[in-house]
Amino acid sequence: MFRATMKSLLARKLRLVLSALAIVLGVAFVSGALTMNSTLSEAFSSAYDTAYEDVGLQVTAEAPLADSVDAAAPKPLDAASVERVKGVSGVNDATGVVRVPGARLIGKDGKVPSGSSQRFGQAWSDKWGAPKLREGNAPRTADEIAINAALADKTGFKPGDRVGVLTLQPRREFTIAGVVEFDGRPDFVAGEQTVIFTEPVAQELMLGQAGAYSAVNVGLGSGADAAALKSDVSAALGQGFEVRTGQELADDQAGASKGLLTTITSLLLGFAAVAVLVGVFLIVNAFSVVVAQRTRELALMRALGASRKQVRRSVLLEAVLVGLVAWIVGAALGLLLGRVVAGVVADEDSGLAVGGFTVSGTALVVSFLLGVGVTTLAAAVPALRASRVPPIAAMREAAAVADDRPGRKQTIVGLVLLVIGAVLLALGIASEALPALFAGVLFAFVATAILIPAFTRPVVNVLAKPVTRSTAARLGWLNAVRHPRRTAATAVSLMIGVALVAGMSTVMRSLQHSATETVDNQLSADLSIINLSSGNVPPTVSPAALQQIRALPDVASVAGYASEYGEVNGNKQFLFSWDDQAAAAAIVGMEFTQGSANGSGAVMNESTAERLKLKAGDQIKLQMGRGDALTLPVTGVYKDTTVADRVTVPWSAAQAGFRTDQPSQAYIDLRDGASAEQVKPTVESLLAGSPEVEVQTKKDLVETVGNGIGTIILVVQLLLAVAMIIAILGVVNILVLSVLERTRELGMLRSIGMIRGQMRRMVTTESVLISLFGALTGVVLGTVLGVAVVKGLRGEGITALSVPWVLLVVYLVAALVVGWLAALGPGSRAAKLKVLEAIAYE
Amino acid sequence: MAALRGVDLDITAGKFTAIMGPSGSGKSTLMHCLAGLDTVTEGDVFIGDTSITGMNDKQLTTLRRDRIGFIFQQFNLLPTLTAQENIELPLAIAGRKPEAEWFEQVIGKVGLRDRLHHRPSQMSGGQQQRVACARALVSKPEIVFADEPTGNLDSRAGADVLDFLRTSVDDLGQTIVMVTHDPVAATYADRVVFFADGRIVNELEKPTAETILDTLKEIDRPGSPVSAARS
Repeated sequence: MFRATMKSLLARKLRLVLSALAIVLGVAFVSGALTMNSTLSEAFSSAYDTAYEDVGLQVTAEAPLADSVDAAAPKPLDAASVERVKGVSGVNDATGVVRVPGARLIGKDGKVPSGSSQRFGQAWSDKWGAPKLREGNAPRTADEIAINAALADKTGFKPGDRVGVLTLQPRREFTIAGVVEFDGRPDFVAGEQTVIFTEPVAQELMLGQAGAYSAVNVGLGSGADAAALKSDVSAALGQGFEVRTGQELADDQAGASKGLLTTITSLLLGFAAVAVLVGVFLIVNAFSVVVAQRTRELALMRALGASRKQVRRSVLLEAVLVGLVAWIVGAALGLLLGRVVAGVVADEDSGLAVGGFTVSGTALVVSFLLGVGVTTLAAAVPALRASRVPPIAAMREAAAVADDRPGRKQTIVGLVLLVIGAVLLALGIASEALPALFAGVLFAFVATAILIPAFTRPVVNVLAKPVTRSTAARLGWLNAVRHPRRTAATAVSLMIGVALVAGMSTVMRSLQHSATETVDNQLSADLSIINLSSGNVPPTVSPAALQQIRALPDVASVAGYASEYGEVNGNKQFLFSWDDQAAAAAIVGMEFTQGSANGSGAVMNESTAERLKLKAGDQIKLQMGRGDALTLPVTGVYKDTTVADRVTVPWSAAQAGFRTDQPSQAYIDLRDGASAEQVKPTVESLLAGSPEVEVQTKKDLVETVGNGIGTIILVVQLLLAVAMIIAILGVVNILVLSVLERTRELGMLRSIGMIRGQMRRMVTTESVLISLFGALTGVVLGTVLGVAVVKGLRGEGITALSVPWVLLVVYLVAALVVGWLAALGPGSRAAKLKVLEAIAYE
Repeated sequence: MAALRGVDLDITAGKFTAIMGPSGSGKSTLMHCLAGLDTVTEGDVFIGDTSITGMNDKQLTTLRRDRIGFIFQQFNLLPTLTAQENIELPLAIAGRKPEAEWFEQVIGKVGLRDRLHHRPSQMSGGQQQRVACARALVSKPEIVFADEPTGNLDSRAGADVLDFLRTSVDDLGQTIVMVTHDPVAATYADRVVFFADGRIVNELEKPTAETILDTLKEIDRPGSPVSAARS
């Protein structure tokens, strides 16, 4: 039986290769994602390991927030605490250090240089991690700094240049004294930007407290055990301190950097999911056809005494072999893909050395399960069908056995699923219940895939209406509806991708529309000072500049804004604060239903108050990133606005408790009759010292908000591109089969006078009709489901419905192109058939 | 080895010519060359006054479409089309409409008037072959080539098809060339050309079953010049 299987496999290799390609792509994306992840993780880890290899232990003050956030400022250690650490027995080499994210050097173009990595402000120290000077000197006076080589390369500054630096305080000017590198490396890790001040300046600018340190580094004497020393030091210091070994530190830091990889990983995994989903249908289709074609052969085997089990196994074995090949090819491609993406990512964060491949076992195992498992599972149904071929079929015409009409049972099952799906969707929409909604989407999807053969003929007949006058096209149309099941199965592979993307685009476009509508309707500010692409540390707006803006004759009011995570009664909560609460209330349209905003306590919107079970007059315990917990009254509750629906704390509290006392955004209301466009340049010039923010009119802001989501919509279209490429394979596959099956017919057509161009047109028509049918089904299904989801998500802020009509038309046009492309090969094969051989073809 | 050697054959217009010979004798190759399906390496083939030697694929295809009709052993109808659509196919490919009068005449002769809207799968073999005959005649070709047209039919259905071919020569003046190895089928022809080893070896006018069988025996007799050449 094994030999027979191999023979049959080789005889149909082209067809199987085509269907296996989808699996190859899926496997490649998965193993690529995992390889990229492990390669970069390895690179990050080793980079941080060397970065912290000198550090035995690091002692920091325990952060006030349990769930410490990246952007939260470290709690400073005062001089007394440093002395305490030094005094612990066993510690004989301890140094207070200052090294805190948030020092932004302003480049020659007046902007903070881009980069996804941290921007550290550090105190010069001759001791721990002593940087090596590449050029110039160490900073010796309060207005001197040193910068790291990566930053020097990026900005083009050299020793002697005057530069501005943003820290906890607004822009300050310094002279660059030197450029440093760390331990012979051209740079520290992951392309970070480091500004090194003298110690007192670093303490003032980075910690806001003279004589304080961000950490105490403890050297490890020779032969000392880090873990043992750690427990000694922890015990001696008691509450309020955190002690970590150098290794733990490296792991923590590397872990944070690895977070960057999540987006790229999920994108690749998304592609993989689509590829595999489509691949399943291609495999089912390919094997069904193989089984149908081999009906006589299988029946003969059964007649000769092969058991059902043997027949079933022979088909499954074929699938396993195809899956194996797909896995090997896909995994190899994936390793390459992963390595290339890793290289690109590492290049972006220059200075990260990616050494070779890191092939993770997970990547191999997962991709193996995917490649071989999915292929085998997909072939299970055709295998079962093969085992049901009766021995008597060996004596019959093969065509008589292959039942190609949509089965009644199948239609009934599909209809039942469709009804269940519709009910679930209706429920989901009515009650805004997400589980019901998504279950409904799933049911509707599966039901459509099952029902599609039942409506293939009528729909394709309608689609073919415009072309039936040409004989070649008419014959192509008749061929397309000749095997409705096969056509349907091919169309499904296209339908899935298109439906997915049409649905997602509908939801995203509605979200975009809702977001811009919200900004447009609810935010009354004429000018906004914002930075939407903030890094880990929020951008700052100079308070002095805001005062100058307030003094402009055209300006009615200005509300500076800052936000940060904190805890309200122990619940993690995003906190807002405004430097002018009254102006803010007007700008975001707060309508108080209880109390008011009098500046002495917190205010919040109704939903938040309900969630936290609070009302005006209650006291809350507020813990922010800096300082001790405060007790504040709730002075007011306002109606939900969708733009400011959080807990708002008084500005004085935020200045003490947030990372910096400067606002990160500001909103400006102009006097009646003043033009935003005219005031904008004046405001911009006043903000010259705040290079991280930009001034936008309301129109600009609406556009900016829309563009953000627009980017996501574009990424979603990439998914479609992948699905389309795979779908082409499916269509090519079925066309090759059709041409082969109809060889004699084609020969006859040529002999009675059909020219090559007409042969091509015939095959192209069949192909385009199949593709168009798939895309149309996908567009309709995707849009319907997308609209349902939008309706169901109205409570989540998607208030507007916006169907991306243009995109939907583009999908249909793309399907036309796909159909045309897919027909190129098979069409010319049909056109170039040798007439005599074709007529004689059995 | 050449499949045809020094063949010089004239097909008389308005006559029914049969080509006979053992398998491998080259009779099918001859017909394919005459019909513009295969090309000759030496010599010339004329349809009427047109030399088809040296024509490119497109010219040959158009020639077949407009001036030649085909009847195959395997019927070769399109299962997706009705009988009428199959009959009109050569004209449809050329983008023309059938002449109503001629169409009626052909349909009448072939006796398929009540089957026009049936598909091939709903018809018997004999009916399918009669559809194929009508298809070959519908475009008023100068010549019709039939390759073992009765090979897949029982004798009764075969006789119907041959009757039709005969009457289309007698009543419509059609020129027909038929390749067959069935002596009975060949008796319907006006002239039988015998073929062996790529050469014409004999010819009969107004053949009968007996004269045909005798000639075939003669060709196949051991020791005959032809057999000697073969061994």
